[in-house]
Amino acid sequence: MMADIGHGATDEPPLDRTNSESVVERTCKYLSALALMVMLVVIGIDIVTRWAFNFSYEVSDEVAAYMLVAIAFLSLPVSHINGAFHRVEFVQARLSMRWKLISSLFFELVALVFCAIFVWQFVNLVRSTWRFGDHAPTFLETPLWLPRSLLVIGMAALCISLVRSMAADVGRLLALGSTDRARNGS
Amino acid sequence: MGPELQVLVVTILFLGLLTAGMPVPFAITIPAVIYLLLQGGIPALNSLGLVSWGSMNVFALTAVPLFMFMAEILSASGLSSRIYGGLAKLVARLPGGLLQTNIAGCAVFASVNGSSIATAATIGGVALPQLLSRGYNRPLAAGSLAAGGTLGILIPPSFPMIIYGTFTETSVPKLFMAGVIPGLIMTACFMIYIAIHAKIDPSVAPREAGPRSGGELLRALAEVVPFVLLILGTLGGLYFGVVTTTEAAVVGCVLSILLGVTMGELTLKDFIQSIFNTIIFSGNILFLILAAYIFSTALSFAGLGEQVTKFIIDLHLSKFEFYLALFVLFTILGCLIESLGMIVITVPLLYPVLASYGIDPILFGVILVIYVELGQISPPIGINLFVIQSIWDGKLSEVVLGTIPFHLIMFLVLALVIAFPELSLWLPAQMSR
Repeated sequence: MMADIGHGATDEPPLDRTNSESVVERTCKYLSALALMVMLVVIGIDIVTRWAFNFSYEVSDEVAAYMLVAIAFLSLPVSHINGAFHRVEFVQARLSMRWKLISSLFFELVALVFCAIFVWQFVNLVRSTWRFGDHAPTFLETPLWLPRSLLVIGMAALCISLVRSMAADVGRLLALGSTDRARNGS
Repeated sequence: MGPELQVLVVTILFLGLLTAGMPVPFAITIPAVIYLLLQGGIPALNSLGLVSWGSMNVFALTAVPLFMFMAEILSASGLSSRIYGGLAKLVARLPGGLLQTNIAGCAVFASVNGSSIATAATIGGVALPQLLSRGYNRPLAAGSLAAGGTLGILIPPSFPMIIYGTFTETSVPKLFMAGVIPGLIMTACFMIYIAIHAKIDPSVAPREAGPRSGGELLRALAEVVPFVLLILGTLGGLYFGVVTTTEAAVVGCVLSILLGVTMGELTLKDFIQSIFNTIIFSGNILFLILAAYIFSTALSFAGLGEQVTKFIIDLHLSKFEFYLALFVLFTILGCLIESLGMIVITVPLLYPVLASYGIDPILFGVILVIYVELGQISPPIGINLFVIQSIWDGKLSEVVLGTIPFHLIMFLVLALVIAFPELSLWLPAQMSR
């Protein structure tokens, strides 16, 4: 699947938006993969027990939804670092590599500010859930601060990934500058 | 800053970020958060935590990564590619040859995955090299694949329908079933158009031979069997009320793994890579859904949604005029905004108006998906155009040219669905639950 929408004709090569995965993204990827498998197995077992024994664990919906929360938030840094977020490349495709990198840096900075706001709000949510001792009104009576912590972890990991891609963009910009200087010098 | 100016600033910011190339989920979320700040200051942000939690702690949405996983398994096992070869033998004798296979292949693949991009990329990747080497008309070949790919979201399962259903609390299984007949009509219309075009101008498609022997026919059928089993296991279970949407996705995943191992070439390495691919692409879709909820919260915080609803109702449009207005709105949006973004932005504003026009939410879901399909092949940002362009060596203008007749057919199907709502609503009414 592709993530870019609307390439235009230009001599400049498209900006490679993927970066190598660090331990942060790899950990999030493995945890998300685990969550997907747990989701599959939990719902699968429920289907079998319901069909075969007319019996439901009555926890599969709750556990599967928590696993979805895990996938949704822990996959954020993985998707970001692999350049999987959809974007409209209509204007980008017409920019020079330097401006592509500058705009990318700007977008990542803005995104970082807003992700930091989300981390702050998610921390507040987890703290208040902890303080009030909120539990899910279900058979499991899950302490809600546990699954809600996934929001903080995922969004904080996205912040780290954004910082890493900003550093990579700065590196590419500097490399571009020295290439230009070398070309002008020769 | 007055309320009108606030809306204007935030709208300009949204369009600016979007067209400048900011990732779509951020381009939706950031203006929404700014709008919340403008409306209620810092305290207004307190809702972000609970809204984000509530938007993802939804069992129905678990179908999104699961259906995605099913499609990834099918691709990794090579079964997705083999369906084209099987269908080529079965339908290539029709006028239009392999172009007919493009449409049939897209329709079948659409029945086991919920994304038009995946459909266009999978079938296009197999078909285009063969079509070009055999001298098929280039624009028609590319256009049929770009348009055929859009069937991925009309024929169930469909990610836009899961998102619409979750967002509006409309039954997703019923939405799925509502897309079946319009999807089949659209498939038939595409194939009829290709046949007529090839009859009028035989140079666009060489004549292809069908199966030469009974054994070849059986081998071709064998390539299609895995998909028939999957369709029966997922959509069949949904129709008869045996499984829910999520359970159908789980059944589909398990069947895909079994079929991939027994009939395909699925290895442990492929299996693990399929999981990772699912995670990478789920992140994008789920983030868009999160953005949708935050956008909706910003709208309701300021009461903007109610104002827009009141404004539309006060226009006293007839039902026909309302549909006409929708047509204009979505045609423009389809040229500007990515498909899921279109649903995310319009549904919170338009859904409350439906009751006053007596429009069934299930019917509206199907209409919305057809509009999204149109957007996916509308220049300048129609994503399927670029999916096909990325697989071949031709110009984008050739792909765009090739989709024009399919655009017109889609408008025709849209008009049919609006004029005869039973086309969408009959099948859901027959469901067991």
